[in-house]
Amino acid sequence: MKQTRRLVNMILALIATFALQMTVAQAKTTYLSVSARDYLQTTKKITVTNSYYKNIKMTLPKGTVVQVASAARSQKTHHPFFTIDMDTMSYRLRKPFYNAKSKPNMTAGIWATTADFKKVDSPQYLRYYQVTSPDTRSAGDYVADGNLWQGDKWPANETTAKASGIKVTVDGYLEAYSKVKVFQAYAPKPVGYAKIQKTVTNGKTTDFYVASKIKGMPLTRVAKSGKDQYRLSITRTGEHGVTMIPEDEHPQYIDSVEVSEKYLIDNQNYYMHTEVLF
Amino acid sequence: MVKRVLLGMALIFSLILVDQSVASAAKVTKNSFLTTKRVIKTYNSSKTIKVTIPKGTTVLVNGTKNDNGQKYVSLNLNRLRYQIRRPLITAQNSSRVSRWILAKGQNFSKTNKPVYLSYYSLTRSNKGHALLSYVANGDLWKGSTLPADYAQLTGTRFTITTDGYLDFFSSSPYKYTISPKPTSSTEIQKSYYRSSRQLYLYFKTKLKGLPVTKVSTKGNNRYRLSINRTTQTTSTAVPNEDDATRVTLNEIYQIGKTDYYMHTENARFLGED
Repeated sequence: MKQTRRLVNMILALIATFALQMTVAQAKTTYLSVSARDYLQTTKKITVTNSYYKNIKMTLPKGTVVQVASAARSQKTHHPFFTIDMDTMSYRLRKPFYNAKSKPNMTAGIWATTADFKKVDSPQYLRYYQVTSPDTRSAGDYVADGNLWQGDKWPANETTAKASGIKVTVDGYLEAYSKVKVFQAYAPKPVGYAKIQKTVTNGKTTDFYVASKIKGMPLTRVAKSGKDQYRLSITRTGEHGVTMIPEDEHPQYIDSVEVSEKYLIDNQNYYMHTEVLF
Repeated sequence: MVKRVLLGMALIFSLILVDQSVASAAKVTKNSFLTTKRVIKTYNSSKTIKVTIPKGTTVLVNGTKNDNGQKYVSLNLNRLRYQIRRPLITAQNSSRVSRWILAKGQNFSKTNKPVYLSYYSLTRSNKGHALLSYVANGDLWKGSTLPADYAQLTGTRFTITTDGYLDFFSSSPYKYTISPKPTSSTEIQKSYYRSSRQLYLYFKTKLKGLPVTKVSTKGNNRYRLSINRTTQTTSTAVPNEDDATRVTLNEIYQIGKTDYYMHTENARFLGED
């Protein structure tokens, strides 16, 4: 009798442990290993806040593409988390940051869980300025941010200069900027924007299709109806311009060298500020 | 019995001697400095021109190789004083490098980087910056910026040879294979590395074209040249700033009140693929 009871107790204990393990497995979170510059897509609606103060909330809808700004692991749990530079996102999402007095750019740390994110390839609409391994190859620092400014190259009076331009955001919006500072502490408000419906690449030219006109942007109407009615064509020339920034006290010497990559939109010169050297 | 012991000792002794030369040869790499222990008769790498390097000359190793368990070095002949490199100057397309020479104690002893060369670094890491290359070669050019069309121009420069001479050129092409005949070549008597940014070189005579301070009326170290390395830089876009394929970094030195610069780095850009 004693033996049977012991056996029953053992079986019950085994079932209990098994049941406990099953529930633990269901509650277990799986994480994504992420690195800076990786692209992720939200698998459900998530809320992010600004770093440090954490007093401004922003919503990222399901299916939003984001880029990892920095990645690290929690000291306590070793779980991976990352931050997003909201200046890379469309105005319609970063509006709460823009409207805040402090104008933050970075989010607080976001857990890289499979419940919230999945890894994706670099979106086609961002490839117009893609380069290979910038962080191990650049002779200096890689600073490209998607902004294409009207003009020949980065201005020598960089802290005060203003320009008009266009930008493709990480979450796939085409935005137009009018006479804003090129040297930005935070991304400004665009004069117009639209979601990119389709991207077509043809050698050095990338065509972006949107459903409506965008204020401040020279679009070509290619169809009478439908989502791909208006088109913007960007040509990447592969050419570069260089701007020497002089030293304040000794202007015959230089402080830095700013590299710009040249583009053509509607046969007009545009440039992207890509590297800072020396 | 005694004979066998003596033979044994002799064997051990010879092994130790061999070991030493092998050990020192093992530490010699590219950019090592060696001093010749005897007159070395060698050729340029294409074996078309004979070059004689006197005993006691400090040379810079260009490369090393191992062949059949033996180590060989090739030397930078271009960085030697005019009297030594002279045969290479008149030749068409001569290389700057010697043929392979056996790296053993009979030929060379290893030496430290000479103090008179401490005005610049022989190498600099470009880790994490694959598009950046370090090209400094010791040449100091008068002025503050390398001209963009330098390949077609000449300039005033001076350099310190590995064997301790100051070569001054009132007009040297920027682009050269073998350093031409200098306007003047003066032996350095003494060098003093005053700080990480100031090198004192002492000479027996005044220098042509460079400002010296008279520090003594007798002895070998009468005239002093001060080579001051500043923290300032300029940059040159090639072919021009509006349509560039690369930029140079020019590091500024001061000789007296005059700017000189060394072309130290070349940078190419991302987005050229």
